[in-house]
Amino acid sequence: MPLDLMLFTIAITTVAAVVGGLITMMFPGMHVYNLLGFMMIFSMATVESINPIYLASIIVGLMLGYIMTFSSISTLYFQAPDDSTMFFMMPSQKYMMKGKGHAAAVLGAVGSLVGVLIVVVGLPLGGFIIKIFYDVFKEAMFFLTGIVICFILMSEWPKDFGQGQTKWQRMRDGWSTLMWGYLVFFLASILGIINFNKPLIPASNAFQSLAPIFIGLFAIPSMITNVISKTNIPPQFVSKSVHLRAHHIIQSGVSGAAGGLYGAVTPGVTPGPSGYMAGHATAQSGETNFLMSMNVNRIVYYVGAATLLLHPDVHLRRGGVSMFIDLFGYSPKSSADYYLVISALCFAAFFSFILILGLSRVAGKFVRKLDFRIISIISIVVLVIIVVLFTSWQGLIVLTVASGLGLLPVLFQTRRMNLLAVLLTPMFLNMSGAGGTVAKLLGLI
Amino acid sequence: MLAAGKKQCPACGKYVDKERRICPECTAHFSYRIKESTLVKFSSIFVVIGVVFFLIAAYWPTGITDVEDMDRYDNFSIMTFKGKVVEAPDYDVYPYQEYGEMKLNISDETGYLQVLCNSGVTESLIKSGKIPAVGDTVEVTGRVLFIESVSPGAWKNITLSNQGLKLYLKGEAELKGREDAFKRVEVMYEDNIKIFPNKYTKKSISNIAGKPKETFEIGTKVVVSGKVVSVLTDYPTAYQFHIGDEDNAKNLMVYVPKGLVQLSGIELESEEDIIFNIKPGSDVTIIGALIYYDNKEIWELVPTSVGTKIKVGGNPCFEVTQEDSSFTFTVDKIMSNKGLYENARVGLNNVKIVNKNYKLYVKDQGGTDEIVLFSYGSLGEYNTGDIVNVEGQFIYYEGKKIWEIKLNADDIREVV
Repeated sequence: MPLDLMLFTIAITTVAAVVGGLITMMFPGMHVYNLLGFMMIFSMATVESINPIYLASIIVGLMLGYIMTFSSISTLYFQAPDDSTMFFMMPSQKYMMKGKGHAAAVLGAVGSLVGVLIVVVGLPLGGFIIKIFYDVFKEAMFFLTGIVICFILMSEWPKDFGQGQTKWQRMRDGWSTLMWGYLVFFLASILGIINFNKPLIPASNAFQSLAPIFIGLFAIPSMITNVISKTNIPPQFVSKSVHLRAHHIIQSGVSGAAGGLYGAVTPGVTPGPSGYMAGHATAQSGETNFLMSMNVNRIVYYVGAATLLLHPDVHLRRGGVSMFIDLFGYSPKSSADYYLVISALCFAAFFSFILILGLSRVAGKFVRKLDFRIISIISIVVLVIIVVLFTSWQGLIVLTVASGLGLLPVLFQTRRMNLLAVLLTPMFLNMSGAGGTVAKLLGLI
Repeated sequence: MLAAGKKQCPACGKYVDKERRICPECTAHFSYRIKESTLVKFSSIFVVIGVVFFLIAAYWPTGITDVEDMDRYDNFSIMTFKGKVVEAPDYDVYPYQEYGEMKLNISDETGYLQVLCNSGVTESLIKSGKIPAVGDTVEVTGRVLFIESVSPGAWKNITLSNQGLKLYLKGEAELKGREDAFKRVEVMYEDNIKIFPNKYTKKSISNIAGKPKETFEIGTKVVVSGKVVSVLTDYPTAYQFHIGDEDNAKNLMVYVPKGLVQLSGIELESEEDIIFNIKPGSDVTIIGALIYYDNKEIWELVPTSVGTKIKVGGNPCFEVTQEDSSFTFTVDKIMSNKGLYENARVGLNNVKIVNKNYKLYVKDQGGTDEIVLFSYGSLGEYNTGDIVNVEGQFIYYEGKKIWEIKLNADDIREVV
C-alpha cells in the first residue's frame, strides 16, 4: 500500500474527527446523519476524483468526532433540565447541574476511548464471533428487533410517581404515564409505517428521508425544552481528576460493547434501547458506569458497525454509516484497508480525546456567558434549514408532525425511547412479512 | 483561602470537612481519583496501537481477486486484479477532443476482464510510453462493473464498440465463455495500474515474417527495424503499413491503433496525403508485440507507443530515422507484389497511358506490366500516349477480378 495514501488516510480521518467534533459542538442538535447528508452531497461531486478510501475515512472520522463530542460536550453543557424534567434527567445533566460538568465530560471521553479500544482491538480479534452470531440469526432478525420492542414496552411499566394523595389517584397517575407512553409508541409506529410505505419526501431526496423524522422527534423537542427552560446553568468547576476504578472500565466496557454490538447487528435498533437493554442485562449501576457505558455503546454502534463493513472476516453492512460508505462504492481491497482504517481511528481517537478535554474546559468556563437558549434557537433554525435543504418543503411538513409527536414525551413525562417505534415497528413488520398487510389495512398501498 | 479543617472537593470545587470521604454537595468520591494528565498519558496508548496497525497495513499483501470470483455483488466496489493482456489495447477517442480512454482485455486464467483506463490514466500512460502490450502482465485496481447474463448479441455490440478489437478476437485470442457476463474494472488513478512488461528481443523481419503460428507466443515483444514499403489506407480504426528488409524479400504488417496516434498528440498531415507521417521508404525502428492474424495467417506487429521522441527502456519505441526521398513505386514493382501493396496508397511517376476506355491503362516507360486507373470523376481529358503522374489506392476489384488504382480527380496530373 502506498505510504502517501496511508499517511493521508490517517491525516484526513483525524482532521475529519476534529472538524466533526467542532461542528457538533457548535450545533448541538445536529445528528451525525445530517453531517453525512452534507458529506453525501460533497461526495457525489467528488466521488470520481477522490480515492474512495478517503471518503470512507472522512465518514469514519466525522462519526468518531461527532460521537465523542456530542456525548461529552453537546448533551452536557448546552441543555439544562428544569424541575419538571428532573426525574428523567440523564446522569450527565445531573453532573452539570451539580457544577461538575467537566468531570462528566472526562468520564464520557474515557468511555469513548474504551469504546474505541473495543473497536480497534476487540473487533479485529473477535469479529468472527459476530459473523457466527449473524449467520445464526440472519433468517430471524426480526425476532431480535421484536425483543427490543418488547423491552421498550415492558420498561414503561410499572410507573409509580406516587404523586397522588390516594391509592386511586396514584394508580391513575401510574396508568396515565403508561398509557401516554404506549400512545406515543403507537403514533410513532404509524408515522414510521406511513414513511416507509408512502413517504412524503420526494424520491430525489430519499437518501435523507429519515432526517426530518429524527430531527423532529428528538432534536427539536430537546431544543424547545431548552428554550423554555427557566433553569440557569450553575458555575462549573474544572476538576483536575475523576473518580475512576478498574471495575468502572470493565463494567461499562462489557455493557456498552454488548449494547452497541446488539444494536449494530440488529436492524432498526439504535444505541439508546440496545444500551438500556445491555445495562439491564449486565446489572449496571452507578452514574459513572452509565456515563461511560453509553459512550462505549455509541462508539461500538456507530464506529464499530462501520468497521464491520471493512472487517475481512465479517464484511457486514449494518447501519446508515455502512450504507453511506457502501454507497460511495468503497469496499476494501484487502485486509490492509481495514487495518489502515483501524490505525487511523486510533490516531483520531487520541486527538479527539485531547480536543474534548480542551473543549470541555472552554465550555465549562463560558457556558454561563453563552445563553444556551440562544444556542438552541440557532440550532433549531440550522436544523430547519438543513431539513428544507435536504428534503424540500415536504420535509418541513414531516418535521412539523414529528416535532409535535416528539414533544409528547416531554409534556407527559413518558420515555422518549417510545419514539423509536418510528423505525422499529415498520422494520419489524416488514422483516416478519406483515408489513404489506398492515400497510394495506391502513390504506397506504 | 482554605479554612481550617476543610478541603476542596476535587469534583465540584466546594469546601467540605476534611474527614469526609464523599462530597456532601455533589456525592463525588475523594478516593481512587485519577488525574487528567494521567488519563492523557494512558490515552497515548492509542498512538502506539495506531502505529502497530499502520505497520500491519503497510506490510499486508495486496489482495488480488480472481476474475471468476467477481459477481454482481461486487458492482461498483474497488477491487484488484492481475492478468495478462490478451489483445492489443483499444482506444476510444472523444470526437474533436484530445483525450480518450484505453481498454485492455486481460485474462488471469480464471476469466477475462476488460480494463478501462480513464482519460487521465490513458494520457499519462501514453505520454510516458508505458502502454501495455499483448502478453504483458498488469495489476489493476479500480471500480468494478459486472453485467450478468449478457446475451451473445449484446456482447457482440460491446466488442464492436471497441474499435479494432474485433480483429484480434479471432483464432488464438478467441475468448471462450465471454458471453456469460461482461466484467470490467475502471482504473481511475495512474498508480492503480502496474505493468510488468515482457522483455523484448531484437529480431529481423525475415525472422518473423512468414513464420508459422507456433513460432512465437502471442504477445512476444520484439524490436524490429526496417523500411516502410507500403502504407495501407482503408482501415477506419488503425493505421497499417508494411515494413520490409533491405532486399524487401520479407515484410511485416504494422498495426497502429488510430486512437494511440491521436492521443499521442502527433500532428497529422492530411489523411488524403500521407497517413500518420509514415511514408514509403522511411526507415523505422519499432518496439511492439507480435500478434498472429489468423485470417491472413500472418504475424503483425503492434507498437507499444508511437512518436519519434518517445522512448521505452532507453530505446526508441517507434522512431522514424530517415526518409528516403529516392523511394519510388513502379507499375512492375506493384504488380509483381500485389499482396504487399493491396490497399496501400501508391504513387507512380512518368507512366504512359497505353489504352483508354472509361478507365485508363498505364505502363512504366519501358516496363512490361499494365495497371488500370479508375476514377468516379472523368478521365476523358487524357489520351493514349500521354505521360502522367498518379497517386491513389491500389485495390483489388472483386467484381471483374482486376487490380486497379482508384483515383480522385486531383490525383492525376499530366507531365508536360
